[in-house]
Amino acid sequence: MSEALLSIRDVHYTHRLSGGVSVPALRGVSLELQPGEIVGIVGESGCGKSTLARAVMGLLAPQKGEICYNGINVHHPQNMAEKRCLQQQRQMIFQNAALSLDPHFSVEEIICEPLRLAQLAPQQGSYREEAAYWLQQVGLDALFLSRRPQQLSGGQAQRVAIARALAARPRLLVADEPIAALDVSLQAQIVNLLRRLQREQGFGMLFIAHDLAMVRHLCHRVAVIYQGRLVEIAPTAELFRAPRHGYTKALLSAMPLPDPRQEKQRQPQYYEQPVSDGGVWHQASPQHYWLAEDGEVGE
Amino acid sequence: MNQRIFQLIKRLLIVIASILLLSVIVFTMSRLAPGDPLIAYYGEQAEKLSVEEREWAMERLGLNDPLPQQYGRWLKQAAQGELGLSYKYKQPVMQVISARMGNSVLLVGSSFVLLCVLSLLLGCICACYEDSLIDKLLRRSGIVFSCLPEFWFSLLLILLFSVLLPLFPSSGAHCIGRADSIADRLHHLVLPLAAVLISHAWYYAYLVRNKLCEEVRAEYVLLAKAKGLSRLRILLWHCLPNVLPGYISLMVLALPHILGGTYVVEAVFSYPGLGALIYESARYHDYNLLMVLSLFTGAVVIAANMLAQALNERIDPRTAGINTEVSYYD
Amino acid sequence: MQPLLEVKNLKVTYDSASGPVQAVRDVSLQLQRGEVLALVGESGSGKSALTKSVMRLLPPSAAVEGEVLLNGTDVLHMPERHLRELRGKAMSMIFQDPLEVLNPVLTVRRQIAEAVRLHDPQADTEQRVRELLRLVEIADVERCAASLPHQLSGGMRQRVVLAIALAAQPQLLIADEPTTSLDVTVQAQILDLLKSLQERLNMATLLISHDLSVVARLADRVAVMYAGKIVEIGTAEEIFYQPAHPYTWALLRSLPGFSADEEELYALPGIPPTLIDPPAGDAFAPRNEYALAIDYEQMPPFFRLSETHFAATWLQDARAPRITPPLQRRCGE
Repeated sequence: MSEALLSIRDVHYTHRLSGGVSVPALRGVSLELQPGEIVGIVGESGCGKSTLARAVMGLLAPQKGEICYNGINVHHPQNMAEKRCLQQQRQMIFQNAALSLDPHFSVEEIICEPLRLAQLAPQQGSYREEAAYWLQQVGLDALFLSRRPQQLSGGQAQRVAIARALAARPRLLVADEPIAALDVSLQAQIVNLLRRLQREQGFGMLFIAHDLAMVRHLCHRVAVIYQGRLVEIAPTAELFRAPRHGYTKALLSAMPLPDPRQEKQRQPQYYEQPVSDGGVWHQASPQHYWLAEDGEVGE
Repeated sequence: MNQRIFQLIKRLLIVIASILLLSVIVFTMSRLAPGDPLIAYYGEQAEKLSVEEREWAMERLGLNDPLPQQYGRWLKQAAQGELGLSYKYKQPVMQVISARMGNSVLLVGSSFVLLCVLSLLLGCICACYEDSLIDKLLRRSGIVFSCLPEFWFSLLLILLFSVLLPLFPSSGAHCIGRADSIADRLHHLVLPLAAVLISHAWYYAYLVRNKLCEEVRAEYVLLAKAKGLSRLRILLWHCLPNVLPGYISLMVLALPHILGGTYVVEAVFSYPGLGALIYESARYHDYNLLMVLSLFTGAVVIAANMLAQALNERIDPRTAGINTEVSYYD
Repeated sequence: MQPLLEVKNLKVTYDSASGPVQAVRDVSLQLQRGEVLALVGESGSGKSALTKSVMRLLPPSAAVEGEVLLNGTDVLHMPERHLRELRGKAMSMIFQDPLEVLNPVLTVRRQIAEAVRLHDPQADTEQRVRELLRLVEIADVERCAASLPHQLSGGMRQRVVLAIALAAQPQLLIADEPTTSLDVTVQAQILDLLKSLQERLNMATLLISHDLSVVARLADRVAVMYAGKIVEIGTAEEIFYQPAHPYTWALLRSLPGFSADEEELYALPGIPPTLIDPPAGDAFAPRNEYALAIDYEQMPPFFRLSETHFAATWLQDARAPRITPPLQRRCGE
């Protein structure tokens, strides 16, 4: 238990909106991430994926449950050292990178900011060289160093955001739809980059995406979230081979394949049943768990 | 439905509370300002009063009591409809005001309404023919006119249209003895109105134009075009409703500004409105008059705010906060 | 038979800060009635500029040359008044981000009704709005009609945009990345809806996407675009099972289901050319590992591979070396 890089325990979060309306976003999600592991999180929009990412980053505080990074409670760090540690070792890539970059900063400043904040010495000589190195890693020219976010295209901004997150040498990377806005060939480039760096540096990663093919390619384990609840978690190959929960089955059946003959015959299933707060966890194989509704027959 | 009534009551309470708060602030501020209230009452003679006479006068006007007590008394009388005497005019405050109120409402009201219409119209014309000759012409001339100081521009109008070309009267609200003639009042209104409109309209028209030009580049205009709608229809039916809420809020904020502007114009054209009265009452510590005038101005602004909010909610229900369903966060 | 849509030698040039950008460079294509043609390419390949010039939605600063014929009438030089009659009635469009293209302050009912009334002033508008919403398979018609766009989910919004597009029963529907902003399950639903409507209404569809997997389900024919030109065009089966252009190979290879290497996805090296001053030869040559010397000098013509399949690559020339496409299909496992 204690060696998990990230442990999420029974997290509940409800959005409170004006007019006294409240929308439950997470209803008791528990998850563990081991060091050096990539866990993919999939589910429809509104299911709570992004909320979970934000909660892990400490950007919003769950009403119930706790999230620990290396034993540090991310919402209540005990001292400055823990706070610093969280700040540097945990980085996030947002879905809409163009909006997450400060328009007043140059690309160089954006990339070096987390390093300077954490008072980390650059590995490549100077900060400028460090920034240039990371730009090159994400496939951008050093010419971009002095540009500002508004001079970047969507794909370029996304890559700058990735460079910024990676330059801080994180131990935990939270990537919220990092490739959704990119072209297919760029997606491949970024996924390769994430995979290579993850191998080299051994950081853990929460990879939130709706592109199942990429999740399948990149992740070690996949967690399926439906209506704010974790409904199934399994090693990637097993989940894609033998999904158990109805929603997972529907999700996989909807996955588009680049094959017209198969595609034209495919009958996607839809799953629209509500998921209750109850349910029983079943173990399908050593690492494969799924949530069955009460009364539903498990094996 | 219940929710609506509840909202209405809530808003009404907020209005009452705001006006009360405003009265406290004006009351305290006017008393704290340095100066001698007796000058308003006795004029020049106030300087010659002996210490005992002063003391007696202050006592009689109730100005020696502690502030909270004075405020309490004012509030109690005000609640009974008794707003006190104007020190300067030695008349009930309401009587002093009502004599000029009509003139001011006419000038401020007509200039505000015309200003709204004119700035929307100009803004739409410029946005519809963006970067055409007419747009450029209006933009250039608009900037020149809004840079001219209001009082100087008013003097220029007097010089041109009542001295060189005696078309319009240069002062007053009506000719002596013709207070009932609407035509005569309008005739007197032309120049002051022109001064207010020409110096303010472009500023607001320019904002409308820019917001509209931005809106025309929004994605939903593509869909509207793809439907087969004409440019004018897209501008008026699709872009304008998106611009209006911002514009209405802006005009409400502009109301005090326009009020201030008309006060300047009133002074130049010797137009007997409330503007001169507000200035005098503050200058000469005519407390009762000042209170009523400030509260009146405040109430107008608050009422305009409420109206704007209600209008905006009709145009863009997203601003209402009630009755809107939630779209998910993710 | 006269095709529904015929694009002949279309060129689109934009003005940008650093010079004129040739977004579309000499594109010709034909679309038959009831046919689905998918345009596939990366951002900046000119697919959006191409479709927007068909609808004439480009800003006036864009210079458009060539011919766009809809039912034989020239769209490009038509006066604005006639064009407005065609838009919505003969051809309609749906867009990538349904929230952005719906007017945020007008109810769904008003936005659909407007499209209905415009092309058929005598229609019973209320009735038509309900019909249209039912057509796009919205369950609670009344509630949806009374909603504002932000109160609906992404999939619902796209259905509403589709209802607007179908209001006057167009012969041609242009779908510009209609599912890019949606989830996998919703994407499948919207694609299925498009498919069934297209078949029922016998409506020709021009489907634009950057993702080859998405078009596999719908497309009868596929055109692959790169740097403002069509580089390969053929039936869906030809493009997916016998691709001939190295760029099509690259697009397929970068999908996880096709990558020969289990570990690493294929990532196309380099960046797309800026179309301010496009190269003389094949614009794809610098990124093409199979490029021949002639690729750098001379633009390849279309080589005819079958009745329906054309590819613009010198590799198809009789003198070129034979190359086996570097593809290994793993997706069917």
